[in-house]
Amino acid sequence: MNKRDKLRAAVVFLAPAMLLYGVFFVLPMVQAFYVALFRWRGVSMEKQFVGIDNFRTLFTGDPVFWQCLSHNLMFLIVSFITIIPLSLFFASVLASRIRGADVYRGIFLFPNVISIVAVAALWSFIYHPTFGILNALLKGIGLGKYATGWLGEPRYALLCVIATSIWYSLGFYIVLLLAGIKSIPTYFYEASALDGAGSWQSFCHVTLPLVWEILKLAVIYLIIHTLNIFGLVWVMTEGGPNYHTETLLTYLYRQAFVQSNFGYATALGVVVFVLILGASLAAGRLMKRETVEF
Amino acid sequence: MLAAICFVVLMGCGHNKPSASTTGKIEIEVAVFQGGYGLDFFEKAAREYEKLHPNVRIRVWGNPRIWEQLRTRFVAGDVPDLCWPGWGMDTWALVYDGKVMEMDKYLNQKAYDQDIKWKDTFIPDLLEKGKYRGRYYILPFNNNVFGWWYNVNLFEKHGWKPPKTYEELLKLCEQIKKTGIAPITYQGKYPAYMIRGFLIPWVISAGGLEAFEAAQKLKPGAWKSPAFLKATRMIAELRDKGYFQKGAMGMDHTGAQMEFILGRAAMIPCGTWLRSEMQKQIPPGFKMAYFNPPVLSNGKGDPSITQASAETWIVPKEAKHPDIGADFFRFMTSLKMAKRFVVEKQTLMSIKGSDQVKLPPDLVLPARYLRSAKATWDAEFSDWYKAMNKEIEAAIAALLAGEISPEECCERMERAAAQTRNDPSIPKH
Amino acid sequence: MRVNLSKRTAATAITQVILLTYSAVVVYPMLWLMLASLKSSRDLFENPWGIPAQLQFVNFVNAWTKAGIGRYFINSVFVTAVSMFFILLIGSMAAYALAKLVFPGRAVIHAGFTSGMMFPVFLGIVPLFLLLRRLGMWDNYVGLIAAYVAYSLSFTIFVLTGFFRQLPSELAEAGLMDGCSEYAVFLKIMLPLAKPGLIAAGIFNFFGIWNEYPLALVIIASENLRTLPLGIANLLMVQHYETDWGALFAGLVLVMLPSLIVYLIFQRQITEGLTAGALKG
Repeated sequence: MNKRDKLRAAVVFLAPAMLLYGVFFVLPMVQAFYVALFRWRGVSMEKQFVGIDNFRTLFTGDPVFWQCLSHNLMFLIVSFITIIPLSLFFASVLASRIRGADVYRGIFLFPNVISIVAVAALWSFIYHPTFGILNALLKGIGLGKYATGWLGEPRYALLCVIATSIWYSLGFYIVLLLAGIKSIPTYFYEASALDGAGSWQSFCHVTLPLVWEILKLAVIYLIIHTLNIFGLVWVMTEGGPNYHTETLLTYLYRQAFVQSNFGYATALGVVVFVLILGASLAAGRLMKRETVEF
Repeated sequence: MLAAICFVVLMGCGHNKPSASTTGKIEIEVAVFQGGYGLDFFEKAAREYEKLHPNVRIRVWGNPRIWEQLRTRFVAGDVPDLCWPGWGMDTWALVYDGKVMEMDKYLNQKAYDQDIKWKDTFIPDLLEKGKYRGRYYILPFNNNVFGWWYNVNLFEKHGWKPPKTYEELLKLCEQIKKTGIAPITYQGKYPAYMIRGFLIPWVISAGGLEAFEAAQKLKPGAWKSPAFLKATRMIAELRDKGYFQKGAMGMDHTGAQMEFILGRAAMIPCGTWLRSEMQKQIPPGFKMAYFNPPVLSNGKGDPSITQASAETWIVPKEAKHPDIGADFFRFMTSLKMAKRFVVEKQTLMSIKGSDQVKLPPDLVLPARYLRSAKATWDAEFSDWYKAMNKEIEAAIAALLAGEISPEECCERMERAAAQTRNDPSIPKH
Repeated sequence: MRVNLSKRTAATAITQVILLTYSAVVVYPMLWLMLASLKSSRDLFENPWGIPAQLQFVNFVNAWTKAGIGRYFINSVFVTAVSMFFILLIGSMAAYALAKLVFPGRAVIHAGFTSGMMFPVFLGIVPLFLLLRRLGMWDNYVGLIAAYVAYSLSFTIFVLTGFFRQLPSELAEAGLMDGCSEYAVFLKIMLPLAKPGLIAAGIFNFFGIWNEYPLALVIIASENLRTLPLGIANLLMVQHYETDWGALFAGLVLVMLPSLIVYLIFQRQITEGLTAGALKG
């Protein structure tokens, strides 16, 4: 098979995706970038060109933007240090022939099945100040003095939302990594067992290197997910109290649809996009290593 | 092949939109926010209007998040002939963009069933809210009185009286607190309730209506005037004395109102929609009653001043039949229809005399307060200046959460006002 | 040796305890959701964590009628199924080309697709709305499905490229040696091998589209074309004005159940390894 055939095959394989993606995704997004240069209320076609004013305001005259950014970073850091080790642990345990692995795997993805609205409503009840189970639990084990208003408390609100988000998304990462681990041929493990490796060693020397690509995907996806977090926060707290849970996207939504600053919101969207792109590239670079094929 | 079949099937699915009327009738579209009041009233009104005007067909539709659909329709220039865009729509932004019809010529027509001009049938304060640069754009329909509610059963059981003054309130709260019941709860997730229920009433009490009006008009220093300082200190005092329900900051409106109905909190700020909002949850025998927020006994503001706002309707400028849209609204605000709305939907209306019916028990007191009010007010700034409003909400939330002092709260509100004042791109009222 | 064995048993036991605990953390709130959907609102507030005082099946009736679940349900099934078909077909083709074929500009195209995941969804919504109107694709399923496919390709290609990359290239080369075309190699050899990836991408796309709200909101206006999430959003709003948690939770359960069922079916298929065959036909 020569080069031209390969090229033709590539064109055939890629054309439908590129056409749909180009027309219905890229084109509107690019137009949106253009909108970022306007003062536009977004309720009619009336708009006024203002150049990079929106960006200038965002970076120099908007403390809330920086607050949102710090909340998203908090989201990212806390999610990273919990989700990556936990999902690696669960995925490798489930991949081994531990009893009930199938059932556990089935269960762990459950939260992803519920719509985000249901998750938010559910956890709002868990955190509820007067009858939430969290306060009930604390009282039950004698820590009643720590019972509090959770989502209404400036100190805890953000962490509460982050915990919910982790509960919601952990299963996704477990399944992603599990699929990766499952595709590792068993003879690698057999060989490593013959060498006398324990499960920790075979994890370090077989699993980790061989799922590295998938792990990289997981980290990048984590970045995207935490910088794009919206629905959960919006339903649980609407960014309150006093901006303590405001994230980049809740702020974007507020600017666009509540405060009718569509142009400004779009500029914020562009910045979010650049941030995610930068962070993902950085993560990809940091995690770069020889792809292991087998 | 499969793709082709799917495509044909899909195209087929798309072609069942309502076709243009073939009978030569004029069809108008009325888009209604479907909140607690449903669509039935408006549909019935449409059928009656069609009887009076046989050449007109009215299509009424609505849903609970209608603004989301209306916003894109306005952007596309394909708009209904009359709409109630609901609280999620930034209606003033539509006015600024020139997308709302000026209503003056219609308002000068005769009223539907009275021998006066249409505009003279409205409660003046409520009609004036929709004016911008000397012209009327946004019209009021049903109205809400906003104040405090108390649990009558609890109060009678303990022999408490609804407090008229702030001083009485402090004493009462101390008594209530001793019984283990929270004296006051609030809808913490939505600080608008705390602004309308605590902050502004006490600003007006301490500094008179003019102190609040100056703030709405963004007069320099108005948001940190002595009146605001006093009001924020009153909130801080209640906070520090533990008179607010613990954790209220984390509750949404229905959650906090549920606490009130279950008797875990004795008082709550809310509008006259409280009963209909909680109808399904109110236990048999539960009684509640309205009172104006307790004011300072030596306050400058008249104690009769009452808060009244309205649900608003507009005729889009790009409507195909704006005259008929406006005329249908004139029909719906006739005294007869207004009275019917009051009775059927258990809410007050912005039409004078529409409360001359047998009012539901919860509305008797609000109606009386409204009639005897020397003046009324509304937190109009929250509709005019959305960004500033958000900042003020955040400041009040921070104050109630104990993060900042009253002085810091006022400084923060003043800064937000200054920012709006100095931004030439924000149209001013 | 005995020490080693008991050590291993202990480790297994601890692992089991951890797995069980986490399962409880996941399952309990969901059970709670189901129980809550059978309670009256007052019961919910007075006795949030117990068994319903009285089973309120009427909640489901309310949700069904208020949210129009019945009609929207069929719409959602149709839209999700057709979208999924195109997403997986088009997505896997593109992912395969990006992972296994060598051609100029490959890295750029791959980056172009995957960077799509980084856009906030709201960003392009208004331009998309205007575009679909101009193309006559507004307020019908062609537009909605086209948007769903376009919006899902980034994630699908991102995941599938990863899976295709991990597949041994030797197999494809062997296939080519045997005289298979590039297309046959893809359909007959590579696609079946990427099964775990297809299932993972498929499951998440299913959940995503089944629960998708903002795009459906701006693309669909006609009552009879609405999808389930639009109905649920209305239910949520009605809860805002009428305070009926029971109906809200019942509606959420009604939306959740199909996802749960689909998920469980896929679970079984993973174990039994049947999916590859289905996709080949």
